[in-house]
Amino acid sequence: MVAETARQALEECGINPERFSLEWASAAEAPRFVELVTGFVNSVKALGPLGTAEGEASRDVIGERMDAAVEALNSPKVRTSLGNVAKGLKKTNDYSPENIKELVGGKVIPALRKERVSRQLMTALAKGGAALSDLAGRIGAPEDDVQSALDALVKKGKVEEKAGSYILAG
Amino acid sequence: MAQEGYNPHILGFFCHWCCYAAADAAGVSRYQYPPNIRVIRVMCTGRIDGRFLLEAFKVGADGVFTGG
Repeated sequence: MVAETARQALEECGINPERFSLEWASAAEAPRFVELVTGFVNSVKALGPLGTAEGEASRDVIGERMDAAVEALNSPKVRTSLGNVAKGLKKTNDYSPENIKELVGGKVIPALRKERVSRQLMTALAKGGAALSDLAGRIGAPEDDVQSALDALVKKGKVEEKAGSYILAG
Repeated sequence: MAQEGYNPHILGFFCHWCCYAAADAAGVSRYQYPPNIRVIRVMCTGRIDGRFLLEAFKVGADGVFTGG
């Protein structure tokens, strides 16, 4: 469940999820361990440094997104949704990868995105005003989600809209 | 995009009882494996949280290997 959350969160932030791997090797399986490590190192080598593989955002953009994502994953809302997924799994007694994928994708990731987008908006706008499309590109989320996060911040009085671009209030 | 001689920084989370012991055994039996992994030993794979994984990428790891 945690692994699935990490994979989907990485994808969400513009990182190839193949950069993360979870494998099992018992204490007696040294040859298998060597095989796993060698295989993983080679696959990461093939991907190249962070931010250069196909479809990945540049390194500083990833850094900004990860800053917000770590904070978002710390937020009570996302922790609660993780707990709810665990509860849901126990209730249905269906621990298949497909079910986990569906529950995480349906509950945790939307909550995580919401928290991350609003956090990243605050830091991005602290550096100066910006238009919606620029913000959405940098944050790496659909414009609808960024728009609704912006609307929520405007409602709270933290952000103001001026001539099509957004600035921090006050 | 792989450059010649490029050495990725990979962070490894190893369970004390499984993968860490396997790594130890691999060392004792002189198996060769790439030195790119920086290991963090945890007492159990279940201790690992999504935050640790994202934090690793935040500070610039090119990959994260979790061994249970």
